[in-house]
Amino acid sequence: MFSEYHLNGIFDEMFEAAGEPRGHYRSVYTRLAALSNDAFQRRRRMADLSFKNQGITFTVYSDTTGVEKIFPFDLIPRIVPSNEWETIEKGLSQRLMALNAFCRDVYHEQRILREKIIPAELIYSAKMFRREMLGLQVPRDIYIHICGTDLIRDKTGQYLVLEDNGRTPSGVSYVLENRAVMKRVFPVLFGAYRVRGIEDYPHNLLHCLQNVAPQAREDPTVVILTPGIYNSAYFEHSFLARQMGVELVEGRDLIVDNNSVYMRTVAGLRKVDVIYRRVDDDFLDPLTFRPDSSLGVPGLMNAYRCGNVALVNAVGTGVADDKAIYPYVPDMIRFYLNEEPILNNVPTYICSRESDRKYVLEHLHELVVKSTNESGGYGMLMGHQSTSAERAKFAEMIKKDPRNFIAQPIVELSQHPSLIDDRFEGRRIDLRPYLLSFGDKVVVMPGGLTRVALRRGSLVVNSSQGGGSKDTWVLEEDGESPPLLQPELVPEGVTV
Amino acid sequence: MLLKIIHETDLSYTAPIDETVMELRMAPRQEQDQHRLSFRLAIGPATPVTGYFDWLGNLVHSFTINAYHERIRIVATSVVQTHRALSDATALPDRWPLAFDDLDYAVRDFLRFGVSVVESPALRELADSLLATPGMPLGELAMAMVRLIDERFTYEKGVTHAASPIAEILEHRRGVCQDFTHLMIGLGRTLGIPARYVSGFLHPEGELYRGYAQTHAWCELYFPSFGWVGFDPTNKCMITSHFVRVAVGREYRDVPPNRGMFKGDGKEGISVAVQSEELPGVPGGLPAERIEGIGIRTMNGQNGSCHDPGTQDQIQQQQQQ
Repeated sequence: MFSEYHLNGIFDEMFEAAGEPRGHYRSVYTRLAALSNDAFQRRRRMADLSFKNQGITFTVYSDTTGVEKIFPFDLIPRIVPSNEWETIEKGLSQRLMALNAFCRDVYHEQRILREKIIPAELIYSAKMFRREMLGLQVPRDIYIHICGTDLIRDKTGQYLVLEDNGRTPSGVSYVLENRAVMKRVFPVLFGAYRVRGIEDYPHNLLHCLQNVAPQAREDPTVVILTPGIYNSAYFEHSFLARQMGVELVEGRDLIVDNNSVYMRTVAGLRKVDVIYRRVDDDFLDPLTFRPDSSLGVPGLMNAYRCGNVALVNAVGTGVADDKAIYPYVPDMIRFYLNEEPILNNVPTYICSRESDRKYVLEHLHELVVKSTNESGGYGMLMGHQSTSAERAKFAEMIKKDPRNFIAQPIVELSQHPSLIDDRFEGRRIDLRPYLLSFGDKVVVMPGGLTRVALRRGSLVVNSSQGGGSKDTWVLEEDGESPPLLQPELVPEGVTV
Repeated sequence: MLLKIIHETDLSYTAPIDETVMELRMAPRQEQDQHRLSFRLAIGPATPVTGYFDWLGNLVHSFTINAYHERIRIVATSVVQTHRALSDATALPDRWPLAFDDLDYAVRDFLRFGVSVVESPALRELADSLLATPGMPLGELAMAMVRLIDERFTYEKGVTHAASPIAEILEHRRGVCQDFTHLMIGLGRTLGIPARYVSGFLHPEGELYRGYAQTHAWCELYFPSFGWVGFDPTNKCMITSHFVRVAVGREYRDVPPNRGMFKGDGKEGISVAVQSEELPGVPGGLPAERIEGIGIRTMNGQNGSCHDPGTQDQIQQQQQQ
């Protein structure tokens, strides 16, 4: 099944050269190469069924055919040796410490603006800069408690940070489910490697949430605030609530009374200490933000300001993941931590800078243009695959509102074998690890969501754009993979 | 000038409502040229009130009422001493245009257009008709704006409402002080002069001024040599000791005297009255700040438990006339 596998001249995660797997992939390669197509398809059906039964789905907003889809799962695991992971872990922790310091600073002293490290104009023109947060004290000075940072690898295999998702990153439920399914479908292969566990994530998340509870309450009440069943990540909201044993609530389930937040229960009102909110800032409190929002809780910001409830993530963190502010993250690391960045950024042109804009407009055909405040792969131009009409449209949009756009050279993402029909083909991937901030330290989940651009030649991995995902194995050790002692078995009694 | 101001707001509903959440910006600001000697806030139905400063330095009072009620009464009583130092902006040395790079970035934030103060060709055209020339004293330009608005626009109630953007007054040429203020802010920003909205009170003194029976609004422009300087386009003048500053913001939405939400299906009515008087001297025994309850009954609802809360609605804001 590897016979027609092409390396495509980019970085391949599994192969060093044609037919030569990297050390840490050898056992996987041997196992996969030995499996018949039938055996493989059988496992695939098992996995699909498992996802379907558990209702692991997502929503594509522009799709009119149906509300929910299964997030395509790719059976071939991605493997990260421990030495590589160590660098990633350090780099990501460093980055999140700096991003938190940045949020604290822009909403208080604004040293980084006064010292002109970042142009104040850029911050004050950011859509997600929340003036209401100026001077507001947040518990333990943590703004981004939960971060999902997107990493990619370039042609040389260097890990680069593509974006920091510091608002309400989603996808962690898929990571946990993918792992559970892999263990069931490839038990022997999984057992042969010493893969670092990720199952403690819900436990760590709960601690991270409890950590910011007001007045050091002993058994704080934590809830997850969801926009509701029509949200694309509703599955995840309910999944995490179940995993942590906390209530899943909607805005109408909460009420503010005398600056405290309460949850309506059959037994009366119950005080809420921490809200893991999966509702965007704009919709969180109709009194402060969009008055037409029915997803939020009127008066919530007042309770927050009084320190009677913690919001996770804090309001206003979008200023740290604005794509035009992202190019300054390395400067933030130097400024706040006095360290050199461990992970590099992708070079970025800021269209509101005149010289950058000129360059971008002249090189649209070889750049990726992104809207600074969109996520999920919406509002994007892939220059090399675009038509001249699309480029003209983007050129107009850039000229009209330069602050809203950045551009980056097209990074040739690394590829990884995926099962496409009945054989393996290389497909582009990225990696979104999940980070939890406790203020003085950051806990990085060993692994993350490896997203796959399942369309041939595509560089867009977002689930909304036809992406899938695969399990990510971070190893306890480096180097060679272990020998396989027994043949892979499909558990008996399973008909698929 | 020593002023006592009583600001009464009455909200009434045709059917009982519940879960009122409200924010008030009614307390005069403490500033170099204006001292709030006393502030009393009475609210009914009686409920606890918390105060905080918003990001613009305005004192905000917030409260919730979680029991059925048919009306809300808010009475804010202030005693304020005003002493405006500047009477003639044309005497200031500042000249147009202002050097953008020399302005502090926090001040430059007041150059940004917003939701009510929207950039448009009509606004640009109006700004062009001021014929601003480089080197012109900023104070003269400001007074020219005030005169222009007075000449071209008519003061008339009922044409616009609290949420009207300036596109409406530019089209109808009629509006109230809130519209005039937004218009002047728009002119300032179009010409690169930081401009902000002031919500406050105006002591009429023999009905010398328009807009006195309710809360008033005017505009401040930024003069680098002095700071913020107030102009009232509705009364075609600079602000004097008759004006009491309550809240400042980028535009009306930053400073409404009352803003709230409630649940229920009752129709809402709002009535606002402002009375002011000049005091001969500071009365004894004034409380610096006092919050009081007004005895308005709430009905025996289930006090926030699991009843159907009805639809969520916004409480009407007072338009500043």
